[in-house]
Amino acid sequence: MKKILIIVAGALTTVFVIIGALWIAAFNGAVRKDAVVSETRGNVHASLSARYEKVVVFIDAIEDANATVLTYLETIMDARTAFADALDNNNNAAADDAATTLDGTFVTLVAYMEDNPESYNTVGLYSGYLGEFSASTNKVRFDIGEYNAAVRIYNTHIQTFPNNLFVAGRVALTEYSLSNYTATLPSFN
Amino acid sequence: MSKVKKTAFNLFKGITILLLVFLSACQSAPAPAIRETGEFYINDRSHILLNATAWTILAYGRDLYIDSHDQASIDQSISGSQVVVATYVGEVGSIDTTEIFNSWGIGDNDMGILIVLFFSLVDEEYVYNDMVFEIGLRMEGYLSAFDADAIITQYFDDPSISEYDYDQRVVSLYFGVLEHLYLNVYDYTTFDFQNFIDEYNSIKYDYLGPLPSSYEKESLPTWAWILIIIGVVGLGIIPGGYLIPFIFFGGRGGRGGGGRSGGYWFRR
Repeated sequence: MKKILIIVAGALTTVFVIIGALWIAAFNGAVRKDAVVSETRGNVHASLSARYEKVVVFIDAIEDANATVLTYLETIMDARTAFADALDNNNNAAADDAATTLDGTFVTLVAYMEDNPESYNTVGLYSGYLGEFSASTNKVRFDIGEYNAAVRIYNTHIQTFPNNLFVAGRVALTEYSLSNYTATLPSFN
Repeated sequence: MSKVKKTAFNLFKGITILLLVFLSACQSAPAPAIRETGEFYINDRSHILLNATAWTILAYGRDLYIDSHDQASIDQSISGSQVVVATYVGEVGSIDTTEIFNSWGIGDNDMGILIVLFFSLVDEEYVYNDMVFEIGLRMEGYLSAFDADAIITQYFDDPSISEYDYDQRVVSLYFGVLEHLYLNVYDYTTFDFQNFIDEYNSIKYDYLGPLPSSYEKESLPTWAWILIIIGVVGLGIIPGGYLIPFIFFGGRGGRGGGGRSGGYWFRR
């Protein structure tokens, strides 16, 4: 009888140790992967901020513009302010919304200027700005790619068995949309 | 030692060597679209550029790396700049330049620049099409795409240089980039661009000797691998001499400083 009790106790202890180890691995793994997601999200926002600083320089160089361009510029400046405020308040959702508006309008503006060079007075600087626009877009795309990869790893971790038993309360994250960065420039001709 | 023991020992050695070979193969990172060359600063596997052009880029690229390590005058957090030029026959987008940059590890402290020139082969002639200019993570703070674009316009698209004199255009651009780095990043007071160009022009069509990559060995063919496996496992012959390092390191000798790119590149 005593021998059976020892065997049962040993088996239960082994089961508890295994469950504990799995729990710790699932929890710590989720925390570590979430930290990577946060870091890569920070990189995306840093790249977007740097890009918007350059957008402002671009806008400052436009000394003369028609009404269409002015409307775009106002939208961009308002969205940039909203983006900066959202980052200050750690409001990622609002920052992403502002970034979507800002980038969408900026892409439209660049396309409009490309098709209507008489609408602004910076023709000589246009090549440089296109280079900057292209490079900062590529950088944001790269950082978004890194972020999305981190999100996929995190989501896979929390959704696969047996981790899903221990970290079921964690919500799967959403990947960034690349729509503004892969879209073909609209034409105004 | 009896014959059986000797055979068993040789078999054990053979299996150990094979395991090490396979383990090293498993651990290696995926190869980038273009492998670095022995000269590192210039990667011209298609031999589009002149020998003197390659040697000039190699020599001045190495000088910049050494000069930017001067502890007396340079902030060590931005030391170790490397500017690498590569030629590639194909389309922009057919290779991932960011992957190549990070695989080669261009620049110490992320102070690297990669310039890839894209050519096509038309009637057995190489024709220049595009350029990708990629700037390392820390270098972004010292050279914006806007400024890099202006450097390309001034030095690579210099109207005084023939459109088809790719060597002159590349060397002009290289010295233009170096000029920016020496004057604006490392605070040199002078950079005698014209003197360097004159020096290059005086040797432009000379053959200055084989480049380090001339000594690179091609990867082993399949039949060689089969012979090695038969030799190691069947006969207990252990490869020696240069073969072991060749198997493990593939005869490559990257000299990048571990620099990274965050995808900050543009096409011209």
